[in-house]
Amino acid sequence: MKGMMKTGFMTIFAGLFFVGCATTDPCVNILQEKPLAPGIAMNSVTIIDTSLYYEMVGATYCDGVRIAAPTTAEAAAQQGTVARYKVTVEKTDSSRTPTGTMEVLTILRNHTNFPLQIEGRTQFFDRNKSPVEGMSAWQRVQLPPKSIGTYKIASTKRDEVEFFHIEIREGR
Amino acid sequence: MNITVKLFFLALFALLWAGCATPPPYVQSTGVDSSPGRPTVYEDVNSPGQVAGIGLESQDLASMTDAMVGDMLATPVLANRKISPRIIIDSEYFRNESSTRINKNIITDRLRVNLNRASQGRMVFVGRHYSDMVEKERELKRTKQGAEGATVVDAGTLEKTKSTYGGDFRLGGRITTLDAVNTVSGLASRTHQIIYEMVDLETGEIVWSGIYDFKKTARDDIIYR
Repeated sequence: MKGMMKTGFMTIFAGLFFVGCATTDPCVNILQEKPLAPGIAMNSVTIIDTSLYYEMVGATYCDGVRIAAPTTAEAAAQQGTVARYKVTVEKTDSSRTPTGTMEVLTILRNHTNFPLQIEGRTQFFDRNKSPVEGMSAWQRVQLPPKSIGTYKIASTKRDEVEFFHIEIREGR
Repeated sequence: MNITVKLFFLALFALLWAGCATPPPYVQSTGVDSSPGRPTVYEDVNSPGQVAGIGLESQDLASMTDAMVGDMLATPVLANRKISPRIIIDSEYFRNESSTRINKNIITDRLRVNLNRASQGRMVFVGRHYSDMVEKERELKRTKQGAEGATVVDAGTLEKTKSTYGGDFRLGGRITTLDAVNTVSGLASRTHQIIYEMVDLETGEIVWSGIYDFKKTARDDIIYR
């Protein structure tokens, strides 16, 4: 009886240790959230809501230390960037209005089967890439299922406006 | 109960109690703690706040006036004339025929101020809503009193003009709504349509128009005042 108890105890104890918390497995490949690139990419659109667009990149960890991660977009593509998205940017463009202000637009596509509301706002920059006016207010755009919608805004300043950066979030 | 059994239960309990020490869900892989803090008293005027209903609210006001300012400044008849036009923007001819209670001045004031700051002289704004203030001062500058015939106040440093500015264009507009209520669910829906029109004060021509509309549905339990 005592021997059986001892054997059972040792078996269960070993089993528990064996199952354990699997966090110390060396050299594990995992996907992690892709952080926003530092700096502002001029004349571009950033979808800031992870509920709308979410990218993950692969990385290799050994004993909790990150030993390999893609450093370029090409490498990320090779190592497998996984994107989960509801909305994508189809086109971004800018033009001058008859009065010399800058008008920017971005066409967005709703990939889901339900209507989405998104909001966009724009910061305009001068040639030194400094903001020339305040950030615009959020403008709401309705995106029907599987369809496109256009966010459009004009600057208030004229020739000094050279660049823009658009931010998109889910409507609140 | 012998010591082995006691040890067995003790070890089992310790293992269960320790569990798997996974980080809390708000700690990102970067190690940044993004757990929510204490809610602030101030809120962003560009986003819906904690008290939101189906009426015209701060985020609608901000995005609406922003869009109108940009559009007006892109219209050559207003923003690209050889001589800057004199424009009157106030709530005098901006009517609220909607079921939303709102002080119309919050719209026209924001529009006028943002346009004046952004236009940088491309438009000249006439403060018609300050006309009595201007007239009083002009009268004081021109009214003579006493035997020497001195004016009540001196002429100031600005050049005297025969008369004050007349307007070339004036803003008109209207806020209208469509309301619907589901008596079973208690949900209310309201569609706002806000139109802006810039009128030539000589001919009556509408030289620029802007429209902003939105529809909101919610339980109508917010009081606007």
